[in-house]
Amino acid sequence: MSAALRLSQVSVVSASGIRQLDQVSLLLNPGDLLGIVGPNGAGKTTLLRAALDLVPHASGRIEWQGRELQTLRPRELAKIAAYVPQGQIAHWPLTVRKTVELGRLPHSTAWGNVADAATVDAALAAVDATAIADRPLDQLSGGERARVLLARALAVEAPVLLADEPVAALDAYHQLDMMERFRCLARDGRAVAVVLHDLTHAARFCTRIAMLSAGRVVIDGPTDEVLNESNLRSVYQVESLIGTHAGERYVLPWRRHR
Amino acid sequence: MKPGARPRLVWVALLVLGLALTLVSLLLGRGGQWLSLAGAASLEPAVFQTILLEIRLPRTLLALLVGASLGMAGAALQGLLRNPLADPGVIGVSAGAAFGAVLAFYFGLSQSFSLALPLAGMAGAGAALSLLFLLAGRGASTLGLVLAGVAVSAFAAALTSLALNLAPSPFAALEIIFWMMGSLVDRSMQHVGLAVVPIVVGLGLLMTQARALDAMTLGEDVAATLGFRTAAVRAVVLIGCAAAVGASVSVAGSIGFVGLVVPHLLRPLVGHQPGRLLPLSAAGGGVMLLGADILTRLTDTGPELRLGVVTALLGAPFFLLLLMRLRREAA
Repeated sequence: MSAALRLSQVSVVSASGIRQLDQVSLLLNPGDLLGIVGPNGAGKTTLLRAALDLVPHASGRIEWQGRELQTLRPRELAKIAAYVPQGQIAHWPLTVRKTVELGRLPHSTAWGNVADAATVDAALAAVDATAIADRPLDQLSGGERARVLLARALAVEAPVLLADEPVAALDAYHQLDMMERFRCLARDGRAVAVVLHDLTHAARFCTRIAMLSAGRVVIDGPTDEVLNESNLRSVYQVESLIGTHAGERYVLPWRRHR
Repeated sequence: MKPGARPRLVWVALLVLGLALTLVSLLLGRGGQWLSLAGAASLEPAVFQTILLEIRLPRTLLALLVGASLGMAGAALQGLLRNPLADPGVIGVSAGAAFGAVLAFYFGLSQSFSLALPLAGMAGAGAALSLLFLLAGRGASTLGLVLAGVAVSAFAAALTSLALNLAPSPFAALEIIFWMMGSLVDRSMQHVGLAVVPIVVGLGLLMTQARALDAMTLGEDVAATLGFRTAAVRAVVLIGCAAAVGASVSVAGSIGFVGLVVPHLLRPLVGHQPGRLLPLSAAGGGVMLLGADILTRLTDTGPELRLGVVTALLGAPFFLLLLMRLRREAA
């Protein structure tokens, strides 16, 4: 079986000539929870956006389930990959249910009924949002809104989920809640890639880590091999404390490397 | 009221109101004089028929068509730009159409044949749209689009001022100014025939983008990953708005605030969904403009009250309320 997403030697050059991604190769398989980490400006967001054809890539090859990106129509790609962008906001205060229904758009026909009640219900239930289904988005807390926007992505029923800093604006409880949901989604057989800043989240929940720096994938491998003191020192320029608790690793960036 | 609770009721209310206003519009004349059936007996049947079919009917139809255009175009642009303060004027097509019509005045074409004015207006709208695409480019961002629209609008307004400045006589200038205030007086079925095709095509194009505008609620990136080509969505919405609004301004002059106010009033009634707002805003715009046109007929002395003046008088205070509410929400 072909990989969910395969990037081979992909480079992205911005309009102003800056090389945002440089010969990046990456593999995402069903069942993976891939953590994409790296300092600010390393190209994490650009990586996701290039994979989704939201920015053009200058060279290299991007394949979704073995099919070249350029041969996929937008709607076909929409059924393969769901995307939760960074700091996502809803511009109109739709109700929670109407927001989640937007995830069914790739499956709708021109004038047919878009609402596929069973799938929408399942997506709402998956994030425990059934009780707030009729509330407008602007009356939700940050944690609730993050869950609803995840449900919107789940309603697509795509085998691949890409999320850009999905826990950045959440409190500790809701960060753990979201990370557990991503772990469940990956265990259910989806291919999930998440951009993360919190290295303990990356260490505890991700099955694989791709560490980016200056537009390149510096290290890519099983979580335990990637997240160690020397890699954090060379990529993030920080000294870290790394320990284990109940068999899981935590990573605590302690001070700037001098 | 709960968001989106009773869209069907709103539709029924708008249709009933629309039919009632249509009846009033057909029967009510200048200075609030009713065309009563009793009075009809004293009129020659031919005169009665002329008043009804050749004066009142085109005026009524144009009010509905122009109002529907402005309402739906406003809703579509607010959805596309995800900005509740967008109106059909932001893309510069209204200003372009107005300038086209002013040129027809300036060169005296409007004297030579009656449809010169609307045809020149449509040419102006087309030119403004071309200029907009040229300025904004293919992959333009929303911000780039708004800025290009502002530039086109300002340029067309400057050219209009130039035409006023160079007007051969004060009467010509006055004629231009009055035309720009918007009116549906003395329009014929020829005007209806000219405007109806671009308006229907334009509104039809906008309706094809209802789903895409829904998806835009979550931003352009998400809309793209839901399978919509955002550049194509933008182009179709712009062309649809330009066709409908350009034709509207060409036959009726500049009429502000309908495209801003109507989508705003109706948005909560469809649960803020941009797609469902489109047809409802068309209905609401038609009803509002027909109502405003009826108001212009109520004065019986002095110069005719202009339609654009009435909509602005009604719309500007509403706009202030809107701004205050937005500020409260932001606080």
